[in-house]
Amino acid sequence: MKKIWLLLLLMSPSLWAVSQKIEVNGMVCAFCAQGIEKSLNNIATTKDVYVNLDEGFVILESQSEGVAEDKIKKIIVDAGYDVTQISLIAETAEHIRKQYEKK
Amino acid sequence: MKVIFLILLLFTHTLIAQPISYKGSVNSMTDVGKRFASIESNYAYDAKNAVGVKFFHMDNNDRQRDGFEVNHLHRLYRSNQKHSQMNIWLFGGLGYLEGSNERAGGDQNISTAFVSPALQWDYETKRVFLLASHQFIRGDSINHDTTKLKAGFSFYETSYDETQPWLILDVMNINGINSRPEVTPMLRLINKALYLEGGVSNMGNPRLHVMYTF
Repeated sequence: MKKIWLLLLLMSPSLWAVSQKIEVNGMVCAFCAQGIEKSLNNIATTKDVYVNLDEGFVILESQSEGVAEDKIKKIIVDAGYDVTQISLIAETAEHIRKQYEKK
Repeated sequence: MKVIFLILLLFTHTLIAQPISYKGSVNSMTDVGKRFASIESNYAYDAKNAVGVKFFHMDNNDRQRDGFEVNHLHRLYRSNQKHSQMNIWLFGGLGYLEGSNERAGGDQNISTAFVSPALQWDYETKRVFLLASHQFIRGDSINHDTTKLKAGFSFYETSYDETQPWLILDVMNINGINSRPEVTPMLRLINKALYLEGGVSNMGNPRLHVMYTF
């Protein structure tokens, strides 16, 4: 039984994914924020991107390991916005998406 | 000219309200009305600069203009705050236009090179939008300086994936084309990929602005 649990855990996609919460200043409209979503989706390791206009943050979920902060900052600045903070979080982008959809 | 407009539309990757989007993007903007119609595309070679082309048509029944320009757009200043964004843009173009004056009294055809330096300021939150711009359009014996003012509000805030409705009051004056400023209340709908703006001006002219991100 323990072996089955271990096998299931190892096969769980969330175990191999890392989510980063990027707090962004100036992100006020969906039309403009698309640039951020598109650019982050262009990173080869990106699994999912969630944009929250209301709270002004983006969740970047990547396979295996997080993206270097300098790289994220450059992408956001090239899209025309400013990064105020980047932090690692335990939840997946989908989990955060569902949290805010319920509100 | 119509074929070129169509080709530009077909090859447009991104259509947005702001003059420049993110680095590497191709943006197009259209404005269709009875007195003025334009379409332009630009390529952002970095986060603050873009090069582009623009076609426009002006018509007030007596005077008609068809123009083409190559331009450069520069984001002079941007202030990103938690709930707002403010920009100052500097544009400049070199172009060529041709047209006719006072057709009722006999055609007087004109053709001239022109320059079109412009300055734009805009401020936006999730509920408020303000814009002011002035563009000099000067050539041999022509002056079509264009002033635009826009102010509006959103009816409510929306999430990233929802459609957001806005009411925008658009005031535009083109020297030598408008006898007085044309005021157009416009309903604007923004979805993640679709941007639709339409209204009827105080002169009874319908105006439509449709944009889509491919």
